[in-house]
Amino acid sequence: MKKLLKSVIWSVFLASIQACGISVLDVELPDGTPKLVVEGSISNLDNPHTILLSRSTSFEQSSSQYVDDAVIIISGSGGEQDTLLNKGGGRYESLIKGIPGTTYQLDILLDGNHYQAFSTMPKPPTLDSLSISYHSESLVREEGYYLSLHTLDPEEREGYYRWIVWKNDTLHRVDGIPGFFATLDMNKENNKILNLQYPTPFRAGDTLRVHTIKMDKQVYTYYLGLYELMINDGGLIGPIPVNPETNISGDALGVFQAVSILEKEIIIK
Amino acid sequence: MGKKLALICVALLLFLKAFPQTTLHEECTVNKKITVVEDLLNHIQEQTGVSFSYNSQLIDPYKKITLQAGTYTIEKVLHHIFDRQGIEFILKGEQIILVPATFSTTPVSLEGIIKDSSSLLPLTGVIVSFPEIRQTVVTNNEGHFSVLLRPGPQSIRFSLLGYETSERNILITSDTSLTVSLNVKDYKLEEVLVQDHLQRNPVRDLKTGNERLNIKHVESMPAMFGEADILKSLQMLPGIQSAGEGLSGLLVRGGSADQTLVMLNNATIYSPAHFLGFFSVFNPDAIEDVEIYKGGVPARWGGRLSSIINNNMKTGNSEKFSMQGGIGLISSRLSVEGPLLKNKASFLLSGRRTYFDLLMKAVPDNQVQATTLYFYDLNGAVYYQPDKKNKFSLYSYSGDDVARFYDFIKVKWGNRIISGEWLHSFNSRLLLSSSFHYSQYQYGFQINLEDEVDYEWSSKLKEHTLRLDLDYNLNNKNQLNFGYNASRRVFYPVYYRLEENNTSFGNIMLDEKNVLEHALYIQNEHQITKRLSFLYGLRYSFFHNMGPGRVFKYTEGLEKRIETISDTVYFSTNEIYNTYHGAEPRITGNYSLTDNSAFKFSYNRMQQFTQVASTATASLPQDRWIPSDIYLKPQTGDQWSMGYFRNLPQNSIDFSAELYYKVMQNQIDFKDGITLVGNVTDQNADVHLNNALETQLLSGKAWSYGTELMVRKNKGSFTGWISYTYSRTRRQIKGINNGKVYSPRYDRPHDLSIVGSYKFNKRLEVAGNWVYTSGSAVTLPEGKYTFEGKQFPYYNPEFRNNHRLPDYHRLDLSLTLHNRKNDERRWKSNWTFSLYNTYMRKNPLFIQFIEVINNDPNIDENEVDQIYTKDLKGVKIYFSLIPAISYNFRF
Repeated sequence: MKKLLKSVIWSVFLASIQACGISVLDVELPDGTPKLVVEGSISNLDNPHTILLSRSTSFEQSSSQYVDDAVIIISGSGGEQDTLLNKGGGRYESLIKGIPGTTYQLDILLDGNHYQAFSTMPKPPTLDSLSISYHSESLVREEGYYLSLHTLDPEEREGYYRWIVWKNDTLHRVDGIPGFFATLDMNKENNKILNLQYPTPFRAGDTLRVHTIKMDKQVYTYYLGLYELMINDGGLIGPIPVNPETNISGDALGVFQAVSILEKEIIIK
Repeated sequence: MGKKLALICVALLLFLKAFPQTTLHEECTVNKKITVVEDLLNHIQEQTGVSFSYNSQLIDPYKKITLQAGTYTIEKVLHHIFDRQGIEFILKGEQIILVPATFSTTPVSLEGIIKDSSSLLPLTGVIVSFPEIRQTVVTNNEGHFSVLLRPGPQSIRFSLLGYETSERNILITSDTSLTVSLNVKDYKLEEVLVQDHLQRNPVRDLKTGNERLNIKHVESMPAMFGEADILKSLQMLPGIQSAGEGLSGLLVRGGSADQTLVMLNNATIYSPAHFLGFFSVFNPDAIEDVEIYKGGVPARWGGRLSSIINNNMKTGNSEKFSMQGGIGLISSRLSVEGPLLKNKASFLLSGRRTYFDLLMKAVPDNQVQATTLYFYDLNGAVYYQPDKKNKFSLYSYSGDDVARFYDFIKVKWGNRIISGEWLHSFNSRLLLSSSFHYSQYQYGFQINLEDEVDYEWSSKLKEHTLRLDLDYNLNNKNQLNFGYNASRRVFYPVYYRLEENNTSFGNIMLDEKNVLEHALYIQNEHQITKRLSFLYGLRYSFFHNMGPGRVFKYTEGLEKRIETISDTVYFSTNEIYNTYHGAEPRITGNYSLTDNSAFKFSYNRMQQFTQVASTATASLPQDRWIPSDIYLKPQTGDQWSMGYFRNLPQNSIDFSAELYYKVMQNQIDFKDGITLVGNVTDQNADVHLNNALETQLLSGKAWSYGTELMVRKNKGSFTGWISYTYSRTRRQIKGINNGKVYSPRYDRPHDLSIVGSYKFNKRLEVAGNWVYTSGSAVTLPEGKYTFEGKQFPYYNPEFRNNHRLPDYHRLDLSLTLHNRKNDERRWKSNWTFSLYNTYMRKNPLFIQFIEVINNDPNIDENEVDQIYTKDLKGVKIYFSLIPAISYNFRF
């Protein structure tokens, strides 16, 4: 009897701590009109700039719908202008030279609709150095080589940054999004030295190509909204989900960004 | 001749026995043997069957009388004998009562204490009724009642569910004091009662929208993890909903969780829940009962729009020691109570602790073992009654939630309460209650990871309250209640510090905020006619913002943003810089249609000067309470309600139907897209770090209406209730949802609760709850898109909360086995087994739209061999079946 009671109590306890579960939500989702999605940037680097256009789909569809019949024009406040060339698969390219300090205007004409966005390319970031440090396995981090960035933009008052890393020529993603974001607010007195650490470790022998990217506030706000969507719980505890704030007018999704990039490479020995 | 007359007398008497009103005209013979009063009265009694009642201090039975032999009517005899003595007689059925002639109609008071005959503890809510004059009063928390009556004979009935009804016939000539003991009802199968959930006659009670839930009922309902929970039991009553599965926040008649004032013996508890809201802070062993006002709120209460909930602690046994407790799967509790001074002073000490973490040490995983997760509650009370006119009480509560992961992450939040009360009865008509209350709520969060991260966040809220309440029995048709209360609150600065890799990311102290809220009130409970009574009153509230503090000024005509701050004004300590005030009328009417049915209606206006700035529907430990100020006007609410109440005879079944309509002004909500936490920091948008919340908040109005129906069976081996509410809640705030009307998440039109319990015999009882509600209103995406290689959902900004989750329903069952081998033994115990969500319905608690691998949300991208599909899908997180066992005892 005692043994039986003991096993009953033990199984009840085990069942209790497995009390939560996760499964697919069985709710009919509404079908909205497909929206245009704009992705892409213009930067101060020499490679061609790419704008990617696609359409949103319903939940049943698996593949993306690319848009190849739009007309895209980028013009800069300095007077330069370029109509982008469609390369198929929703990609449009431009060889216009990106100059920091310029405000760029994006115009998209598609199916009689006009979409427009503005973004200002900031001055390129100045970086003191990159370094690699090894950390062994601990409670809050995995074992490996961690990338750190030191003293970013010592003269700046405010800045919005993103770090993208190519590990052995493969774009590295953190939670599915390439890279990692941070802001700098020099109005806080203690912000003289900045040391940021990339959240995921790398292995010995990896070649890392690092882009330190600076963007304007509106673009940064867009990414904030994107992260908010990733952690949204449907409105029970967090806020009600909303689309990230875009700088594109005309009811489109996505964002247009004019960014300046500093490229550096480092090999983990 | 005498004999014949006597025979006729007897015949007449037998014939006339059916017509007691002619008793006085009955005739009797008097003979010479009667020389004293006593003889005469006995003689009349023998002859006619009429009995006499009198106070022997008033009437001397041996007083000599002279009476001529003969036949007289009783009336004549009595007049002859007693008129000279200044004595009158009153007829009551077959009884004649002799009273002094100076018997005026000045009311005298009858007061008393009613106790449980075995434990000798005072009984609350006993219905003391006077059937002849159709008056009823109810005993208060000290088991005390008091009423004004005209002198004369009275029959009094004392009834309370779970106890044998007691009746007394007494003669009231002057101020009288009684002590009555009621016996607990025996467990006979036909009349067994499992719960005492309503200790009043719902028909007679003046207030609408008022419930009193006794702890015995709460304890007999099956509960999550086997933990009886007062706040969750209240969710089974009509008009009261929960924020979501298992969460304790109460949403009453369309109001948000912060619109309910939760108190412990009149002291405010700001965070009444543990474990993110899954358990309330009230240890059922320490609580006697819970009063809840959903509408028709008396003038003595205010400060929140939607409801007032007051948990009353047990008063402790002043006669003998007793102990009770329980051991469960995730928590244990122990209470001790007893006398400090026999019959004059008593104490109560109650503690409860969960030990999720101790059990987790059995799980073979280092990380799980290193986690500390527990909460505790400690309640204490001391009572001292030096004499009949004075009672002193001291209450305290302390409780914390602690979560620790090794030594690196520490989270702690909790409440502290201290209350003191002095009840003073000036005379039988005037009662003064003076009390002070101290309430503190704090929340802290710390992360220390060697040199890497050093993060600290803490916040505190302190409240000091003084209450003076007077009850004045003006006459037996008017009961006045008036008083004053004042609360001083300090919202302590949020302290936030973050250092990562020796780089500081911020060191913020938010502004301290000081406020004073006080009110005067008066109300009268007026019995206008036998059928019609009114409760009318007025509460007038004042609110002041005081220094030390600062206020930002914004450029005229521009939207309030950090960028448009034009000036900052500073205020010194105790300098008042803003005042709000307003009247809150309260009216309730009750019209008795019959002895067992009544129609009631009420109107009340409430003001609220403190609220939670949060996006959450549930109450959370990190809720940020904020006071009204220059930019944030106080919330006001007007509620109209009416209802029909009916009791079937012997209180076996009662039925109620209520309708309400409520309008609320100055309701706040956040501008769309507020970011709380992310991979990035944006301090301006973060609720918790913002000194200028007015830049993030918008305000508008809300309204709700509904119908609440309830049928309750109170007697028999099967007892329980069915409650059904149909209600709608809507909001409209400029700037949100494009200014269009929208539903908050908890707008659930249908809410059905079926609660029942069945007692098979002395040892075995089974109980169950079945709840069914419409799904919560949610915002669902209209489609998905790919951005930078990852899939995201997209939403239509005009369709806020336009869709519903699937309907929610759940069955809970419990089985209790009493160990009652020997009824006489003091040690009583039982085993309770319960199942939460018996048929394992996967009701969604959280929903997310994330990329799902191979159609199974449990698969981790990094740990799977082959990825076949990776699609954006909606997923739900739910509670499955939760079984529990506990062992409970009472000594």
